Amino acid sequence: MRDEVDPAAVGASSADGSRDVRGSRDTPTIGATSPAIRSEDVDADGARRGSWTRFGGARSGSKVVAPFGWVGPAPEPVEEPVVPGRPTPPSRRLARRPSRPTIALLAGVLVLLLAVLVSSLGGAAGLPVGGTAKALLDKLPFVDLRTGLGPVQQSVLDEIRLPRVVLATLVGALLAQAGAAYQGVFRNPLSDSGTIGASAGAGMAATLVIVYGGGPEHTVAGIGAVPLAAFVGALGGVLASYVLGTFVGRGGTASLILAGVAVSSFVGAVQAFVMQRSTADVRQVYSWLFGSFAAADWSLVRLALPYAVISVLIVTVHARHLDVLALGDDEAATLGLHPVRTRVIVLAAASLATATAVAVSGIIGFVGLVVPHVVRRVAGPGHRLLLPMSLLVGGAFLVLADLLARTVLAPAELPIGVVTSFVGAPFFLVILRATRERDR
Amino acid sequence: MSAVKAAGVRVRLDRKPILHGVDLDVASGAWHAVLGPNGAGKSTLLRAIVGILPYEGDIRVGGEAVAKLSAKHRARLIAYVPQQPQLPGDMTVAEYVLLGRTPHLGYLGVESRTDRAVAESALERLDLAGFSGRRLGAMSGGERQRVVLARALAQQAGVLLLDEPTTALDLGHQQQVLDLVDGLRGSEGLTVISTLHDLSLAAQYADELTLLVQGQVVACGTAREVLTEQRIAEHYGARVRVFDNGDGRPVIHLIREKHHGYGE
Repeated sequence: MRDEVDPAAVGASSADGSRDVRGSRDTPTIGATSPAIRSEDVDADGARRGSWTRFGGARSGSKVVAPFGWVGPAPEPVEEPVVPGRPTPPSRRLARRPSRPTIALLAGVLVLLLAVLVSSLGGAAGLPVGGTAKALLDKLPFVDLRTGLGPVQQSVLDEIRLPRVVLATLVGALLAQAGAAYQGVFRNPLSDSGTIGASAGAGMAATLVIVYGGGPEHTVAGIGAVPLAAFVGALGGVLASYVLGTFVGRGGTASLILAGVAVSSFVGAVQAFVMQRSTADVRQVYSWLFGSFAAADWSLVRLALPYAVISVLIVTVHARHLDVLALGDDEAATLGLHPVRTRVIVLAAASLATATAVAVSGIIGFVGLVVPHVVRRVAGPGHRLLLPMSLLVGGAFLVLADLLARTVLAPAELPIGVVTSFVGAPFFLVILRATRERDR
Repeated sequence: MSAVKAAGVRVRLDRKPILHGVDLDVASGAWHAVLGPNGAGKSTLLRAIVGILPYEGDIRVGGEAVAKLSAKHRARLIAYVPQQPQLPGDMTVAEYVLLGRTPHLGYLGVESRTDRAVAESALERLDLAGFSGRRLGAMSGGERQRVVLARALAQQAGVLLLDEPTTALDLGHQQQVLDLVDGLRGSEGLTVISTLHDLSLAAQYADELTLLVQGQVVACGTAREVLTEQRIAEHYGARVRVFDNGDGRPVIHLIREKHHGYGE
């Protein structure tokens, strides 16, 4: 209620007869004329009153879906009939009530923290629940707790479990947010890092390095050659798709996606050819192609973190731009946005995120496609909630998937891409089914 | 204040000339209808004015050359409702209308109380206050058109460009939408430029009309001056009868072919 606009203040300028609605944004004179139109249009004209009533009638019996992504108003009960000409009661105004997004974000944080805790507990060496929870809290700044863990347990947690958990969280968050960003930029629900050549480029570059470049043991300036190649390959794949889509096609979203498909399939063919020629390395290549966190350590986290922070910041800043872009390039342009510029910036940032994730974990499918859709079902299409929620849910999803990957066949490990698809696909269908009234 | 003046506007699409030097002069607060047969370049003209098509020539809004303005500044002067607006089905009405505030926001796009008040007022004036939580995908054609108008209103621009605002609406909703626009024009001094297929509707609502044929203006003036039987026959290839009941707003009827024994 406190943010509600005083009708008297809004309508003040009508007293002096002002008609200028194009004044500064601090003087919302737009509300001034509202009552006048209403009474004039409705009361003076019986015929029109009938048609307004028709609009009012159309409202009854319809179903409301809570405006989750909407950072402002409370959900409006539409079943309530509206009498034409009567001013809107105060309770129905767009009073600011940010509770739903806040609750959603808090729930997301909670889910992620639980996933991190559960994932830290699982593994060959048993760790006590309470001690591990305390040890995790102890990592926070300004928190100092006695964990009760022995030195071995502490070092298992610090040096084996945590780097892997943190890396999986980071990669899941990056992939999910990048997927949401790709879907927003292309206005296409099937877009993810595979759509525009990022995964394929990374896959081919990594394959080339594994087969011809000395394998994973080879390092360049202290960084593994495979991550480096994957990083460069992902960006190269996106760049090739973008350049082809812009110069061969017309540069619209459809031609970008088509160019991405062409690049991916071409690059995939090259990769298949290379693998065919050197069957000795196929097993190694495959294990990389399905992704794994088996090699996780703090140095990989440190390697990924700066790129992760940069890409997440850039994508998040453009959340509302993506909302506007949902109206299509033309309408976005008439609202003062530069559609092409926005698309390039967000694409670049999302591709940086993808390249970073691929470099440290290999190719992990499904997260970038599915997590944003699940989040959208719950949080609505607004990117200001969708993007941060994708970060949280993506991180939680992948950290749990990694827990399964390393415990189900312990001491052997499943490729994590197998887990994400095996568990994720049925889960996705359940979510689609449970929320299908939104498809109406 | 929000007069629109176009002089010698030429537009090429894919190297094919669409507009060959179109002039348009719309007084502030007037309703101007752009008419013409299919493919005459009506939508192209609107798209050039709002700045999403490159053009040669001069277009001024309130004396300012539109081409020199930033996209944001231009968006504060001109609002545009395309023929087929994109309405993301999952978005709520309130979210959608708030997008109209985009040209008034900073880079981060944080809406202030004022922005919400303006959007809310736009919703109220189009009788959509109870719809704000409704998803766009669950709305009927007439409701959708009003939602799009609300978004354009929230933009608080002095000029409103409407591309075929009555397409896909039944008779009652056509009248409703046009009456709404007329009311807003009267109350807020909006300058309205619309393309319209229906010549009688154009004659009813517009102060002045421009008849565009193959990218050129062939007639411009009041409805009575522009809409003559001979001119419509020539440019539309249609047999019509124009009835003028004396208020300067002629009504155009299509006439059935004679050998059916009807129409005289």
